[in-house]
Amino acid sequence: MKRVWIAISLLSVILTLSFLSLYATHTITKTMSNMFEEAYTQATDGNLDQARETADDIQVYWSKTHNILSTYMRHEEIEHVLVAANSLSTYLDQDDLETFTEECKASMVYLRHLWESEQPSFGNIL
Amino acid sequence: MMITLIRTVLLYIFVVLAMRIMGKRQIGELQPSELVVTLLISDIAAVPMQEIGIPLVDGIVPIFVLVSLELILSACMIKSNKFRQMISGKPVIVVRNGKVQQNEMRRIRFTIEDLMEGMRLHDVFRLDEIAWAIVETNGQLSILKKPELLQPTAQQLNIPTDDPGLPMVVVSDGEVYDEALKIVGFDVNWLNKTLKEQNVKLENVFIMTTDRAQNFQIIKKEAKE
Repeated sequence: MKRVWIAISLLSVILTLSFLSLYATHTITKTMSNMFEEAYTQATDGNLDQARETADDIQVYWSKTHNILSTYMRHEEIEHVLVAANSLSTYLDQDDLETFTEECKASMVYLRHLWESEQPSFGNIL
Repeated sequence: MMITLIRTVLLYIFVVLAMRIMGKRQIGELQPSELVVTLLISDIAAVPMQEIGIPLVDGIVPIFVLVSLELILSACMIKSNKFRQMISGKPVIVVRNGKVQQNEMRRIRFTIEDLMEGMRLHDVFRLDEIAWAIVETNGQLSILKKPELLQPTAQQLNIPTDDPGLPMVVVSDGEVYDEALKIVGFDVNWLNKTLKEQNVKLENVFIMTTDRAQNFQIIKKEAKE
């Protein structure tokens, strides 16, 4: 019976960690997506200083949180966001607004994909 | 390189831990579900060991989920006979009263070669020596010889026997096993006295076994070449 309790405890811990990973993915991807959207809007409205601040915030937030995602997500899946987060400021430095906004849009799509691919939906399970 | 090394060590620890939780069983004694889990664990552990782009959790979580499910399945099998039969199947009689059950053998795809091999492993070389042969759920063959071919026991021959108990290893490579000494009913004082009588130093003992009747055997360490 002792082993059964170990098994039940293990399953409970794994289930809890799975829910926590879902919560973390949702929070991080949503926050990042909002920040990319903000940077995109600011850049298209011509507020480049604000866009630069947001790009810096994106970089800081991502450097703080990407380690959480990489503990349970395939590293290649989060690489795109990593590259985007680190290169946004460079695009602004080079006055390459077009690439900046494209990168923001692409990152938003990619973050949505990250969140959707982690959900225990019928399609993902099968 | 260093990452692979660390990941391999970690996964090795987790696999050993998982197998330890599953319990002791020889490969040949594994039930079908246990065999499947054992094979799956080795396969799952190998992937994140080689691919550093895959999180370690992707290997650890399935291992512990499989072990947990296997333990819960085993507990259910202990509780319910019907469930056990559903998962592990039933033992199948392949020789009944000395007659080979060809239909049963065909049904479980048990060949005559399998039967002969199983017989030889039980020191039985002729089919007409067998009364009953049963294929167990783990695939092993159990054999009961015909009564006239069974060896008589001491009880049947009315021979008085004494029970000296289980011989235990009390010293291994110069190290005293207190627990084993306690099981055979002795203590360190008895051990020291016996070794002194035999003119052997404790550190020179390679192995020493004894039973409750003090039938001990001492093997000294050989000189290193």
